[in-house]
Amino acid sequence: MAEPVLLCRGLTKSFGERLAVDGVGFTISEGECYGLLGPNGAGKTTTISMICGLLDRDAGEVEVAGQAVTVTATAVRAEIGFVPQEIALYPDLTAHENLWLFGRLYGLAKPALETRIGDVLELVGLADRARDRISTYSGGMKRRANLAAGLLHDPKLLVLDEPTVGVDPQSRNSLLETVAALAREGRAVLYTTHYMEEAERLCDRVGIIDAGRLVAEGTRRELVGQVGELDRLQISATGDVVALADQCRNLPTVQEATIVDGAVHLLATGGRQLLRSVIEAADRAGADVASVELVEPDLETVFLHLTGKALRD
Amino acid sequence: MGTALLVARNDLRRRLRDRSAVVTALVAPVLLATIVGVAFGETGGSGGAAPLVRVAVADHGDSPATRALVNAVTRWAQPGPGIAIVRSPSVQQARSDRQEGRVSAVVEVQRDFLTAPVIQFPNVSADRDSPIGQSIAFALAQGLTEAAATARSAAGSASGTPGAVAAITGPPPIGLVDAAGGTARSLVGYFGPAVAMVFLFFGIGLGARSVLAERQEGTMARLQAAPVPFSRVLAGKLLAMVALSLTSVLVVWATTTWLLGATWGDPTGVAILTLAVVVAMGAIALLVTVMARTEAQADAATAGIGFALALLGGNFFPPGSLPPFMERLSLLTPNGWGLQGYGALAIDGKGLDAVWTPVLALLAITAAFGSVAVFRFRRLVMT
Repeated sequence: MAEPVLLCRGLTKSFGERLAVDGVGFTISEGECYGLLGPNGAGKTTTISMICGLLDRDAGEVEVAGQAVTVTATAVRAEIGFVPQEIALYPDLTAHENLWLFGRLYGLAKPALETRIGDVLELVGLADRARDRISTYSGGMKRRANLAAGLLHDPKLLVLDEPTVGVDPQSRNSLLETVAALAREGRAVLYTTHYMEEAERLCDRVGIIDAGRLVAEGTRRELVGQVGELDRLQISATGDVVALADQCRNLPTVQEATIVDGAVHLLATGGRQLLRSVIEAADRAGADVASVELVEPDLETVFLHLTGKALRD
Repeated sequence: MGTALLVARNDLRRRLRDRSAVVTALVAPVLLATIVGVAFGETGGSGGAAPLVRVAVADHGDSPATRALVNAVTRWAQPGPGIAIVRSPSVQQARSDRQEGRVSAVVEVQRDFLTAPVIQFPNVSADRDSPIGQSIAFALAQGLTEAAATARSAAGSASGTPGAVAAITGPPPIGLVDAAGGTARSLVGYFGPAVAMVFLFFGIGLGARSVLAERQEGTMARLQAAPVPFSRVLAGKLLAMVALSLTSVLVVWATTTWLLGATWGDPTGVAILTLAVVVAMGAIALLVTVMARTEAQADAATAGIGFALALLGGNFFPPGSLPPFMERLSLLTPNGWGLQGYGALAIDGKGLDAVWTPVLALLAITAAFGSVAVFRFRRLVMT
């Protein structure tokens, strides 16, 4: 297995009496997008601040591309592209001026810097607005410029802290597509969010964080498997619906089959794999299936199961 | 150094773009200098206006030689616009004029001024609220004393005769022509930096609070995330603040000097002292800012501490007018040390040597407050 780009272990941070992050640890490999999912105040920003070396930690360790990260280690920061939750750009400067400043701070020099500025602005779709001040941008454009500043120095690890907060659906979609493309190019991505749909859509693996603790991690399917939630199938059919329910009840992964308002409702594991068997059962029962709706448990369900509260609480 | 310059350049560009740099470093200092000039009657163009300060000179009228000397000195003294030196017909008249507010100060020449074994310094009485009148009266008294000494030296034992006075009615022997006017111009040279220092504190405070604002807006986090030591980023921020503050004081200096004819004293001394004052005031302003929890709190603290420092340091008072314990107390403040240096240069006419003690004291203040401020700032950002 390839060496992880990010390795963090036992990250702990307190602010006074309040334990903000409690022993958080995970790894991210090249080309992998890892989502840190949790409600506001769960410890996501504190965790990534320690990962980026912005915040002193009480315990634990962080390595990026094999180099230890601390608040005083400077060289390793060149491997990290940080996209803060705030629009961390000077509103009275143009996108080009902002990127030029941050590029110079990352050691980029002319003419490579000019080329790179052009590339990242092109990537986020702002090349034609390069000479406009950030203050004249829409919310979505500001978010994209914010992302461009984090990508400027071509980092191995891209850390995004809730990059879509307050963004319209179109801009959000564009941002998510850009991030997904960056991961496909081989970059390691750490993406924090409290939007379950974003984590499900974008992330290869998800860590669920609540009250400073990483309560579970894995792929979406692994997480759902961990909590043992069942898929729900709703079958609309004509003909002998009672016989269809009986046939379905005998299928090996079905745990419950009921008839509600003339439709057959199943609770089962592996709902997708069950679809062919359901059609065959309908044939046997002499029923014609008009539609099947599959509802798989999502990360919201997982979060609720693990923490006893909803993501947006 | 490259990182610090890069950050400083960016900050200056932003301050220029939003015009706050122009206001802080150019418009406000020119206005400030003009106000100081007007307050001290140094506008240079008010020939027909009533004088702001009148000083009366009187003798007892019992010695023709003394009378001739006082007449001559009064005639020579040519203060700038806004200041009038009045020859009173009698001591009683002069005292009455002062009591009724027609003059700000009175110089009384003693009966035996030219004949006493030792020349007595003339009596000076002045309104407490007229520091300029007081200073001009003392300058005149000093001029009279020196003129008497010259007359004695020229005429030997015959110094008490009108003939002896003829010896000093030629070219002025002590440069008295400029005594009163020069004092007034030196006072502008003193009050210019005194007022500029108060303004400086608020100007630096404004810059320091922009650092807090950057922290809240997130740009500080991005600067901090860059692969450069954070101390260099902070140094760049401070460099921009110092550059703007220094410029504002230099503009007050240039304006009062070139437009108002004021004298701040030895230019090298003024430049070194100003730099030391700026960094010391900057260290305190930064500490005040980083100790605050919010920008509003920082605003209130800066205003309160700024005025406290100004009062304690004696910025609003004429040189040498503070009671002794207040003089000692003023040396706890950077502006107090600054004023001591500026006073030595502008009023006493001393050279570079006079600024080293204030500069060392200011550097000590910078080190003490600056190190706590930087420590606190790093702690604020990184923990």
